[in-house]
Amino acid sequence: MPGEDIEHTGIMRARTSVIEGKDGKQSGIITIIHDVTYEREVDRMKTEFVSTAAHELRTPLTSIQGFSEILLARDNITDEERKKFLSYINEQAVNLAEIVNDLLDISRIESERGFTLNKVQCEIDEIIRRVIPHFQDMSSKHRFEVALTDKHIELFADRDKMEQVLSNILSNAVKYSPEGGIIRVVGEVIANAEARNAESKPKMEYQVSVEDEGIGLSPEQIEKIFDKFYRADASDSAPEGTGLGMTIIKYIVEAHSGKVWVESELGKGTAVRFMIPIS
Amino acid sequence: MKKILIVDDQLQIRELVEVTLRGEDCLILQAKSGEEAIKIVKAEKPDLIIMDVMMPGKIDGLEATRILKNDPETKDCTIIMLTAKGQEADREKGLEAGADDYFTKPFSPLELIRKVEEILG
Repeated sequence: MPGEDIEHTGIMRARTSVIEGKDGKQSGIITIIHDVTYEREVDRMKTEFVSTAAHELRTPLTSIQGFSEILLARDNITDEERKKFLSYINEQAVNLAEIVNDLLDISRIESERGFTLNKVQCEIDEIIRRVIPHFQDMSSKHRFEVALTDKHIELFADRDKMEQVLSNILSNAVKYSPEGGIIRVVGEVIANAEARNAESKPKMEYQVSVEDEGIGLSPEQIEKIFDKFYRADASDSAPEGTGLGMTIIKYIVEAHSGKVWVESELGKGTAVRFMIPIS
Repeated sequence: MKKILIVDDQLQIRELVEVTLRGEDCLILQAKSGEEAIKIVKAEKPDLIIMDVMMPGKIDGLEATRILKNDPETKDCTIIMLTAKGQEADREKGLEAGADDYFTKPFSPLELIRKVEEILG
Protein backbone atom coordinates (compact mmCIF):
# COMPACT_ATOMS: atom_id res chain seq x y z
CA MET A 1 0.00 0.00 0.00
CA PRO A 2 1.31 3.48 -0.76
CA GLY A 3 3.00 5.13 2.16
CA GLU A 4 3.21 1.85 4.05
CA ASP A 5 6.52 0.70 5.42
CA ILE A 6 7.42 -2.13 3.07
CA GLU A 7 9.63 -3.69 5.73
CA HIS A 8 6.60 -4.28 7.91
CA THR A 9 5.40 -7.85 7.81
CA GLY A 10 2.24 -8.70 9.59
CA ILE A 11 -0.75 -10.95 9.59
CA MET A 12 -3.84 -9.54 7.91
CA ARG A 13 -7.31 -10.89 8.14
CA ALA A 14 -9.56 -10.10 5.18
CA ARG A 15 -13.34 -10.37 5.19
CA THR A 16 -15.23 -10.00 1.98
CA SER A 17 -18.96 -9.38 1.59
CA VAL A 18 -20.97 -9.10 -1.56
CA ILE A 19 -23.28 -6.09 -1.92
CA GLU A 20 -26.54 -6.83 -3.61
CA GLY A 21 -28.60 -4.23 -5.34
CA LYS A 22 -32.41 -3.94 -5.08
CA ASP A 23 -32.73 -6.15 -8.12
CA GLY A 24 -30.88 -8.93 -6.33
CA LYS A 25 -27.90 -8.62 -8.57
CA GLN A 26 -24.39 -8.21 -7.32
CA SER A 27 -23.51 -4.56 -7.32
CA GLY A 28 -20.22 -4.53 -5.48
CA ILE A 29 -17.85 -6.12 -3.01
CA ILE A 30 -16.61 -4.82 0.31
CA THR A 31 -13.34 -6.20 1.65
CA ILE A 32 -12.22 -5.28 5.15
CA ILE A 33 -8.57 -5.91 5.91
CA HIS A 34 -7.69 -6.04 9.55
CA ASP A 35 -4.14 -6.14 10.94
CA VAL A 36 -4.23 -9.00 13.47
CA THR A 37 -0.46 -9.28 14.00
CA TYR A 38 -0.67 -8.16 17.61
CA GLU A 39 -3.68 -10.35 18.44
CA ARG A 40 -1.92 -13.39 16.99
CA GLU A 41 1.23 -12.66 19.01
CA VAL A 42 -0.83 -12.40 22.21
CA ASP A 43 -2.57 -15.68 21.35
CA ARG A 44 0.74 -17.37 20.72
CA MET A 45 2.16 -16.21 24.06
CA LYS A 46 -0.99 -17.31 25.83
CA THR A 47 -0.84 -20.78 24.31
CA GLU A 48 2.84 -21.09 25.16
CA PHE A 49 2.11 -20.01 28.71
CA VAL A 50 -0.74 -22.45 29.19
CA SER A 51 1.40 -25.32 27.96
CA THR A 52 4.34 -24.29 30.19
CA ALA A 53 2.05 -23.92 33.19
CA ALA A 54 0.38 -27.27 32.51
CA HIS A 55 3.75 -28.97 32.29
CA GLU A 56 4.93 -27.39 35.52
CA LEU A 57 1.78 -28.53 37.30
CA ARG A 58 1.98 -32.06 35.94
CA THR A 59 5.37 -32.87 37.40
CA PRO A 60 4.36 -32.44 41.07
CA LEU A 61 0.93 -33.87 40.35
CA THR A 62 2.52 -37.11 39.14
CA SER A 63 4.11 -37.68 42.52
CA ILE A 64 1.02 -36.64 44.45
CA GLN A 65 -1.39 -38.80 42.48
CA GLY A 66 0.97 -41.75 42.18
CA PHE A 67 2.17 -42.05 45.76
CA SER A 68 -1.24 -41.35 47.30
CA GLU A 69 -2.81 -44.03 45.13
CA ILE A 70 -0.08 -46.49 46.16
CA LEU A 71 -0.62 -45.66 49.84
CA LEU A 72 -4.38 -46.18 49.47
CA ALA A 73 -4.23 -49.35 47.40
CA ARG A 74 -1.36 -51.27 48.94
CA ASP A 75 -0.92 -52.89 52.29
CA ASN A 76 2.61 -54.19 51.73
CA ILE A 77 4.22 -50.82 52.42
CA THR A 78 6.64 -50.54 55.34
CA ASP A 79 6.27 -47.77 57.92
CA GLU A 80 9.49 -46.22 56.72
CA GLU A 81 8.27 -46.14 53.11
CA ARG A 82 4.90 -44.77 54.14
CA LYS A 83 6.68 -41.88 55.83
CA LYS A 84 8.91 -41.28 52.82
CA PHE A 85 6.00 -41.32 50.36
CA LEU A 86 4.00 -38.95 52.53
CA SER A 87 6.96 -36.58 52.65
CA TYR A 88 7.13 -36.70 48.82
CA ILE A 89 3.42 -35.89 48.59
CA ASN A 90 3.84 -33.03 51.02
CA GLU A 91 6.94 -31.64 49.28
CA GLN A 92 5.22 -31.70 45.89
CA ALA A 93 2.06 -30.11 47.26
CA VAL A 94 4.23 -27.24 48.56
CA ASN A 95 5.84 -27.01 45.13
CA LEU A 96 2.46 -26.90 43.49
CA ALA A 97 1.32 -24.13 45.82
CA GLU A 98 4.40 -22.08 44.86
CA ILE A 99 3.70 -22.48 41.16
CA VAL A 100 0.07 -21.44 41.66
CA ASN A 101 1.21 -18.41 43.69
CA ASP A 102 3.59 -17.36 40.92
CA LEU A 103 0.80 -17.62 38.38
CA LEU A 104 -1.56 -15.57 40.53
CA ASP A 105 1.11 -12.95 41.20
CA ILE A 106 1.81 -12.52 37.54
CA SER A 107 -1.85 -12.27 36.70
CA ARG A 108 -2.19 -9.51 39.33
CA ILE A 109 0.78 -7.66 37.87
CA GLU A 110 -0.70 -8.08 34.40
CA SER A 111 -4.11 -6.76 35.29
CA GLU A 112 -2.37 -3.73 36.85
CA ARG A 113 -4.20 -4.22 40.10
CA GLY A 114 -0.79 -4.97 41.54
CA PHE A 115 0.05 -6.40 44.93
CA THR A 116 -1.22 -5.02 48.13
CA LEU A 117 1.96 -4.41 50.03
CA ASN A 118 1.76 -4.86 53.75
CA LYS A 119 4.72 -2.70 54.72
CA VAL A 120 6.03 -2.88 58.28
CA GLN A 121 9.36 -2.18 59.97
CA CYS A 122 11.28 -5.41 59.60
CA GLU A 123 14.83 -6.55 60.10
CA ILE A 124 16.07 -7.59 56.69
CA ASP A 125 19.04 -9.58 58.02
CA GLU A 126 16.68 -11.64 60.14
CA ILE A 127 14.59 -12.42 57.02
CA ILE A 128 17.71 -13.49 55.12
CA ARG A 129 18.82 -15.74 57.98
CA ARG A 130 15.40 -17.36 58.08
CA VAL A 131 15.17 -18.10 54.34
CA ILE A 132 18.62 -19.65 53.82
CA PRO A 133 18.25 -22.84 55.95
CA HIS A 134 15.36 -23.92 53.74
CA PHE A 135 17.76 -24.06 50.78
CA GLN A 136 20.54 -25.61 52.84
CA ASP A 137 18.18 -28.47 53.65
CA MET A 138 17.26 -28.83 49.98
CA SER A 139 20.77 -29.04 48.62
CA SER A 140 23.72 -30.88 50.10
CA LYS A 141 25.87 -30.00 47.06
CA HIS A 142 26.05 -26.28 47.70
CA ARG A 143 27.89 -24.47 50.44
CA PHE A 144 26.25 -21.29 51.66
CA GLU A 145 28.40 -18.37 52.79
CA VAL A 146 26.53 -15.59 54.48
CA ALA A 147 28.00 -12.17 55.22
CA LEU A 148 25.63 -9.66 56.79
CA THR A 149 26.08 -6.38 58.65
CA ASP A 150 26.83 -6.72 62.37
CA LYS A 151 24.03 -4.36 63.22
CA HIS A 152 20.37 -5.19 62.52
CA ILE A 153 19.05 -3.14 59.66
CA GLU A 154 15.39 -2.17 59.62
CA LEU A 155 13.54 -1.71 56.38
CA PHE A 156 10.02 -0.51 55.82
CA ALA A 157 8.94 -3.42 53.68
CA ASP A 158 6.50 -6.25 53.16
CA ARG A 159 8.05 -9.15 55.05
CA ASP A 160 6.42 -11.96 53.03
CA LYS A 161 7.28 -10.32 49.73
CA MET A 162 10.90 -9.84 50.79
CA GLU A 163 11.01 -13.53 51.66
CA GLN A 164 9.56 -14.33 48.26
CA VAL A 165 12.24 -12.26 46.50
CA LEU A 166 15.04 -13.99 48.42
CA SER A 167 13.57 -17.45 47.92
CA ASN A 168 13.20 -16.91 44.18
CA ILE A 169 16.79 -15.70 43.81
CA LEU A 170 18.22 -18.49 45.98
CA SER A 171 16.19 -21.12 44.20
CA ASN A 172 17.65 -19.94 40.86
CA ALA A 173 21.16 -19.98 42.31
CA VAL A 174 20.68 -23.61 43.41
CA LYS A 175 19.00 -24.67 40.16
CA TYR A 176 21.49 -23.04 37.80
CA SER A 177 24.65 -24.17 39.57
CA PRO A 178 24.01 -27.87 39.07
CA GLU A 179 27.55 -28.91 40.01
CA GLY A 180 27.21 -27.31 43.42
CA GLY A 181 29.80 -24.85 44.68
CA ILE A 182 29.55 -21.84 46.91
CA ILE A 183 26.50 -19.62 47.07
CA ARG A 184 27.45 -16.31 48.69
CA VAL A 185 24.78 -14.14 50.25
CA VAL A 186 25.95 -10.65 51.14
CA GLY A 187 23.88 -7.99 52.86
CA GLU A 188 25.42 -4.53 53.18
CA VAL A 189 24.56 -0.89 53.64
CA ILE A 190 25.60 1.28 50.74
CA ALA A 191 25.52 5.05 50.35
CA ASN A 192 24.00 5.95 47.01
CA ALA A 193 26.00 8.93 45.76
CA GLU A 194 23.51 9.64 42.97
CA ALA A 195 20.45 9.91 45.17
CA ARG A 196 20.50 12.50 47.91
CA ASN A 197 18.02 13.18 50.67
CA ALA A 198 16.61 16.54 51.77
CA GLU A 199 19.82 17.47 53.63
CA SER A 200 21.70 16.57 50.40
CA LYS A 201 23.37 13.65 52.10
CA PRO A 202 23.65 10.43 50.09
CA LYS A 203 20.68 8.13 50.55
CA MET A 204 21.40 4.92 52.39
CA GLU A 205 20.40 1.68 50.76
CA TYR A 206 20.43 -1.93 51.80
CA GLN A 207 21.90 -4.14 49.11
CA VAL A 208 21.56 -7.90 48.96
CA SER A 209 23.74 -9.95 46.60
CA VAL A 210 23.37 -13.62 45.83
CA GLU A 211 26.39 -14.98 43.95
CA ASP A 212 26.69 -18.49 42.57
CA GLU A 213 29.35 -20.45 40.70
CA GLY A 214 26.88 -21.82 38.17
CA ILE A 215 26.51 -21.91 34.40
CA GLY A 216 26.14 -18.14 34.11
CA LEU A 217 24.32 -16.04 31.52
CA SER A 218 25.30 -14.42 28.22
CA PRO A 219 24.73 -10.66 27.74
CA GLU A 220 21.73 -11.50 25.49
CA GLN A 221 20.26 -13.67 28.22
CA ILE A 222 20.80 -10.99 30.87
CA GLU A 223 18.95 -8.50 28.70
CA LYS A 224 15.85 -10.70 28.67
CA ILE A 225 16.09 -12.11 32.18
CA PHE A 226 13.26 -9.99 33.61
CA ASP A 227 10.92 -10.63 30.69
CA LYS A 228 7.81 -12.57 31.49
CA PHE A 229 8.06 -16.30 30.73
CA TYR A 230 11.66 -15.89 29.63
CA ARG A 231 13.79 -18.88 30.50
CA ALA A 232 17.49 -18.75 29.75
CA ASP A 233 17.34 -22.45 28.95
CA ALA A 234 13.93 -23.57 27.74
CA SER A 235 15.11 -26.96 26.50
CA ASP A 236 13.45 -30.12 27.70
CA SER A 237 16.33 -30.91 29.99
CA ALA A 238 16.42 -27.45 31.60
CA PRO A 239 15.67 -27.02 35.30
CA GLU A 240 12.00 -26.63 36.03
CA GLY A 241 10.50 -23.18 36.14
CA THR A 242 7.72 -21.06 34.75
CA GLY A 243 9.96 -18.18 33.70
CA LEU A 244 8.04 -15.88 36.02
CA GLY A 245 10.32 -15.71 39.06
CA MET A 246 12.54 -12.81 37.95
CA THR A 247 9.58 -10.80 36.60
CA ILE A 248 7.89 -11.08 39.99
CA ILE A 249 11.11 -10.16 41.83
CA LYS A 250 11.52 -7.01 39.73
CA TYR A 251 7.95 -5.99 40.35
CA ILE A 252 8.21 -6.47 44.13
CA VAL A 253 11.56 -4.69 44.42
CA GLU A 254 10.35 -1.73 42.35
CA ALA A 255 7.19 -1.53 44.42
CA HIS A 256 9.57 -0.90 47.34
CA SER A 257 11.30 1.90 45.36
CA GLY A 258 14.28 -0.40 44.90
CA LYS A 259 16.30 -1.76 42.04
CA VAL A 260 17.34 -5.24 40.93
CA TRP A 261 20.03 -6.22 38.45
CA VAL A 262 22.09 -9.15 37.28
CA GLU A 263 25.82 -9.49 36.66
CA SER A 264 27.02 -12.68 35.07
CA GLU A 265 29.55 -14.41 32.88
CA LEU A 266 28.97 -17.71 31.05
CA GLY A 267 30.62 -20.58 32.85
CA LYS A 268 31.73 -18.41 35.77
CA GLY A 269 28.56 -17.75 37.69
CA THR A 270 25.83 -15.23 38.27
CA ALA A 271 25.26 -12.48 40.81
CA VAL A 272 21.75 -11.17 41.40
CA ARG A 273 21.69 -7.95 43.43
CA PHE A 274 18.85 -5.87 44.70
CA MET A 275 18.70 -2.79 46.85
CA ILE A 276 15.96 -1.25 48.92
CA PRO A 277 16.24 2.32 50.29
CA ILE A 278 16.56 2.52 54.07
CA SER A 279 13.78 4.75 55.30
CA MET B 1 11.45 -63.76 35.27
CA LYS B 2 10.60 -60.71 33.15
CA LYS B 3 12.93 -57.72 33.26
CA ILE B 4 11.60 -54.17 33.31
CA LEU B 5 13.82 -51.10 32.95
CA ILE B 6 12.67 -47.74 34.32
CA VAL B 7 14.34 -44.70 32.72
CA ASP B 8 13.72 -41.33 34.39
CA ASP B 9 16.04 -38.60 35.65
CA GLN B 10 13.82 -37.99 38.67
CA LEU B 11 14.42 -40.35 41.57
CA GLN B 12 10.86 -39.90 42.86
CA ILE B 13 9.36 -41.11 39.60
CA ARG B 14 11.68 -44.14 39.42
CA GLU B 15 10.70 -45.02 42.98
CA LEU B 16 7.04 -44.58 42.11
CA VAL B 17 7.22 -46.91 39.12
CA GLU B 18 9.27 -49.41 41.10
CA VAL B 19 6.86 -49.54 44.02
CA THR B 20 3.97 -49.67 41.55
CA LEU B 21 5.38 -52.79 39.91
CA ARG B 22 6.38 -54.43 43.17
CA GLY B 23 4.56 -57.71 43.55
CA GLU B 24 4.57 -58.36 39.82
CA ASP B 25 6.82 -61.29 39.12
CA CYS B 26 9.62 -59.27 37.57
CA LEU B 27 13.09 -57.86 38.02
CA ILE B 28 13.24 -54.08 38.01
CA LEU B 29 16.23 -52.15 36.68
CA GLN B 30 16.75 -48.38 36.76
CA ALA B 31 18.53 -45.83 34.58
CA LYS B 32 18.86 -42.08 35.12
CA SER B 33 19.55 -41.02 31.53
CA GLY B 34 19.25 -42.06 27.91
CA GLU B 35 22.95 -42.96 27.76
CA GLU B 36 22.68 -45.18 30.82
CA ALA B 37 19.50 -46.78 29.47
CA ILE B 38 21.19 -47.82 26.21
CA LYS B 39 24.07 -49.46 28.12
CA ILE B 40 21.73 -51.37 30.40
CA VAL B 41 19.45 -52.47 27.56
CA LYS B 42 22.42 -53.93 25.66
CA ALA B 43 23.67 -55.82 28.70
CA GLU B 44 20.37 -56.92 30.21
CA LYS B 45 17.90 -57.14 27.29
CA PRO B 46 14.84 -56.14 29.34
CA ASP B 47 11.39 -57.23 28.16
CA LEU B 48 9.91 -53.82 28.78
CA ILE B 49 11.30 -50.28 29.05
CA ILE B 50 9.34 -47.47 30.69
CA MET B 51 11.00 -44.36 29.30
CA ASP B 52 10.69 -40.71 30.30
CA VAL B 53 10.96 -38.26 27.38
CA MET B 54 12.53 -35.25 29.09
CA MET B 55 15.91 -36.04 30.52
CA PRO B 56 19.08 -33.99 30.80
CA GLY B 57 22.13 -35.01 28.82
CA LYS B 58 22.76 -35.58 25.13
CA ILE B 59 20.26 -38.39 24.66
CA ASP B 60 16.68 -37.74 25.75
CA GLY B 61 13.95 -40.36 25.82
CA LEU B 62 12.95 -39.87 22.18
CA GLU B 63 16.52 -40.19 20.95
CA ALA B 64 17.19 -43.24 23.16
CA THR B 65 14.03 -44.89 21.78
CA ARG B 66 15.15 -44.17 18.22
CA ILE B 67 18.60 -45.66 18.88
CA LEU B 68 17.23 -48.78 20.58
CA LYS B 69 14.57 -49.39 17.94
CA ASN B 70 17.09 -49.05 15.11
CA ASP B 71 19.57 -51.48 16.61
CA PRO B 72 18.81 -55.08 15.54
CA GLU B 73 20.22 -56.22 18.89
CA THR B 74 17.72 -54.23 20.95
CA LYS B 75 14.78 -53.50 18.65
CA ASP B 76 12.56 -56.21 20.13
CA CYS B 77 12.22 -54.56 23.54
CA THR B 78 8.81 -53.03 24.14
CA ILE B 79 9.03 -49.33 25.01
CA ILE B 80 6.36 -47.33 26.84
CA MET B 81 6.94 -43.57 26.82
CA LEU B 82 6.19 -41.87 30.09
CA THR B 83 6.15 -38.12 29.97
CA ALA B 84 4.57 -34.95 31.24
CA LYS B 85 3.94 -33.85 27.70
CA GLY B 86 0.43 -34.79 26.75
CA GLN B 87 -0.18 -33.08 23.48
CA GLU B 88 -0.98 -35.02 20.34
CA ALA B 89 2.16 -33.82 18.56
CA ASP B 90 4.37 -35.23 21.31
CA ARG B 91 2.53 -38.51 21.31
CA GLU B 92 3.17 -38.78 17.59
CA LYS B 93 6.84 -37.90 18.02
CA GLY B 94 7.13 -40.75 20.53
CA LEU B 95 5.44 -43.26 18.28
CA GLU B 96 7.49 -42.07 15.30
CA ALA B 97 10.65 -42.66 17.32
CA GLY B 98 9.45 -46.25 17.64
CA ALA B 99 7.73 -46.34 21.03
CA ASP B 100 5.10 -49.08 21.35
CA ASP B 101 2.85 -47.17 23.70
CA TYR B 102 2.48 -43.89 25.53
CA PHE B 103 1.58 -42.97 29.12
CA THR B 104 0.97 -39.42 30.24
CA LYS B 105 2.00 -37.97 33.61
CA PRO B 106 0.28 -37.74 36.01
CA PHE B 107 -0.73 -41.37 35.78
CA SER B 108 -2.59 -43.87 37.87
CA PRO B 109 -0.21 -46.59 39.14
CA LEU B 110 -3.00 -49.16 38.96
CA GLU B 111 -3.55 -48.35 35.28
CA LEU B 112 0.16 -48.64 34.65
CA ILE B 113 0.14 -52.15 36.19
CA ARG B 114 -2.74 -53.13 33.89
CA LYS B 115 -0.82 -51.82 30.88
CA VAL B 116 2.35 -53.66 31.91
CA GLU B 117 0.46 -56.93 32.50
CA GLU B 118 -1.21 -56.56 29.13
CA ILE B 119 2.14 -56.08 27.39
CA LEU B 120 4.06 -58.78 29.22
CA GLY B 121 1.11 -61.15 28.99
